[in-house]
Amino acid sequence: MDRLLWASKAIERLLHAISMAAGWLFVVCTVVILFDVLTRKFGYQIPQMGSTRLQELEWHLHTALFCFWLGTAYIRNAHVRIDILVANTAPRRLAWIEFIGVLGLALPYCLVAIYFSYDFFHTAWRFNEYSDSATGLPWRWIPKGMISIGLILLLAAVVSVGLRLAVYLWGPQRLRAAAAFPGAKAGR
Amino acid sequence: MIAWVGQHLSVFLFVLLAVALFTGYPVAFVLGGIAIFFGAIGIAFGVFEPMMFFNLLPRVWGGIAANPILVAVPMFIFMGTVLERSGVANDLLHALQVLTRRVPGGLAMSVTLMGTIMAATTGIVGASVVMLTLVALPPMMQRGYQKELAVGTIASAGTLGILIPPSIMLVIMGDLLQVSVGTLFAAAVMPGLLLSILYLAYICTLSFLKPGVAPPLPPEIGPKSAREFWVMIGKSFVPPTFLIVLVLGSIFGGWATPTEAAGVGAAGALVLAWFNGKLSLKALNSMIESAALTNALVFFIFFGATLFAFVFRALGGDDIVTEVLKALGLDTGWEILLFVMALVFVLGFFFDWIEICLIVLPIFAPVLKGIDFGPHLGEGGVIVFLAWFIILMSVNLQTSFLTPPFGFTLFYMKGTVPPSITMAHIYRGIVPFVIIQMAGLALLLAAPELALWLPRKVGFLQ
Repeated sequence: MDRLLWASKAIERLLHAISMAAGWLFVVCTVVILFDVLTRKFGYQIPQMGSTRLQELEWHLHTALFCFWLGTAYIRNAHVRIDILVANTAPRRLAWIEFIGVLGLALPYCLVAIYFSYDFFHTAWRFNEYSDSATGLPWRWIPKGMISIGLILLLAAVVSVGLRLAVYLWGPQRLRAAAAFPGAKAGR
Repeated sequence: MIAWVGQHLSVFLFVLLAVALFTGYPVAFVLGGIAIFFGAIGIAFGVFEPMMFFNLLPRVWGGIAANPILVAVPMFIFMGTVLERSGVANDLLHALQVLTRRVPGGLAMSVTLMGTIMAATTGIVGASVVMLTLVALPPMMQRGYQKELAVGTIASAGTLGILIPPSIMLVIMGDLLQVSVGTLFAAAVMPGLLLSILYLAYICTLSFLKPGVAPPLPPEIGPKSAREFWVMIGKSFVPPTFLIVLVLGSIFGGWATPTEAAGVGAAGALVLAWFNGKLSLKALNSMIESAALTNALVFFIFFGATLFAFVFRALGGDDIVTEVLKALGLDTGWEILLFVMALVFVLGFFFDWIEICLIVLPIFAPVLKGIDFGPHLGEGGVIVFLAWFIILMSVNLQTSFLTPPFGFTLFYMKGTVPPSITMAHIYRGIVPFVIIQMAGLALLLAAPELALWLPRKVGFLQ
């Protein structure tokens, strides 16, 4: 049980580090937009870095931004819950609901989505898919792959929460406090 | 029997969704997980193919990722989060207090005015409400304001953020119904100001009739000299005006797309925060973290709702919606419109705008696009109707932030107010403002030009 909890926390730390690094893409995206707007305004464009490419880069960054935070947002309990009916439910029962949710909803969803997203990425990789626009960015597999990676990170988060719940539900009393899970606190 | 179940799986899908949502498990997982579950059942009944799940990826890709319009959402969220912590709000509130000190209920009115101005600089509600509660509640309590009036004012002023452009809700609804974001931003200006004026009128009347609920500020507040006065006005009004002109001006003037305006606005907010000395590395990290969590929350529901809407449609949900509307005897445009409005209002008691937009809009979009309102809306065809409809939805959804038991705003507030203010104060406080919002909605239904005049004027609806 100690090992399960340790593994859960290790996953969390890893996800947190990845997410925080990816978070700086907010700043990068701001700079890219600013650069695009200014260069277009002054009618000067650096060769190979035209507006089409910059605008494609903007949504590539946007894709990375939300994909790399899906899992962390679950661990940090940022995803919206409709918890009015369970506001006064006992913690142990909440843990059961969360555990059933992890096994019955989150895991199948992640696995199906990862399976098909890999397909999606792999096709782009094999055909070396290019932007629809002739002046656009090459390597479409990078943003497509980011969706796969984001979903895998999400799966990792779901597993991490699942481990915590297992420790909480079946582990020794002394580990309970350390195994607090997202959704344990009713209300937001 | 088995064939009947197979044809009506979409109904069961909907019922199970409703039940599962109330277990308190994250909405995004529930949407996606239930869709997968019913896809599997559909396969067993022979009405769904496993390969149809593959559609999820192109849909997520085309609808969410490779969508330049939606880049405005993270940028507006980032801008709002930075602005919330930039210290701009405190100066502004102080200046507004000085300006309104001789009016009955002046402090409350300055909160509403501030909510209106801040709404024009941010596109999210959370930031506005937390910010307003932090800077405006302590002075109101100090002056002995009635608690209900204080929290009602703050909550209502904070929710203006989602209606007055820029607003991420308008970006998402425009994307779902294919109306240009610029049009919607222009259409939301007058309804937003209308609500703000109605709030002000209510506060002023109430404070005039019952001076006890809103004690005036001491007359000695404010600058000693005219020079000091103008410096204060300049210092507090220039930064928000600068951002509003930068963002809304460039959109309405046709110089920038909403996405570009959002990016430039985020840069502007960073500059303001830096100028006020609030942009340390630690602060920036925490701004990024908070913005990224909000952003992930929005897009993960988008993810789940995309899959849900697809499975719902594949299982024949669209036909069932039409059938149900017919069975209820709703076939004229007005009947369907009022039905959807009532439905959204009721859903607003339990859900946030994100879920309502992303679940309800795709389901009703085909029906809505077929509605012809004719002379009530003047010229312009279906796009005019959709623009008007989205503004009606927005005003309606604004109410969902305030209606108990599950109003986003109320929870943001509860997390920020001192313990002497209970949930009961908050619930009682918002009632008059919810009524005002419904009056605003009725006005908009009766007079569509309130919303449509500005976009027509700027040339967005031609």
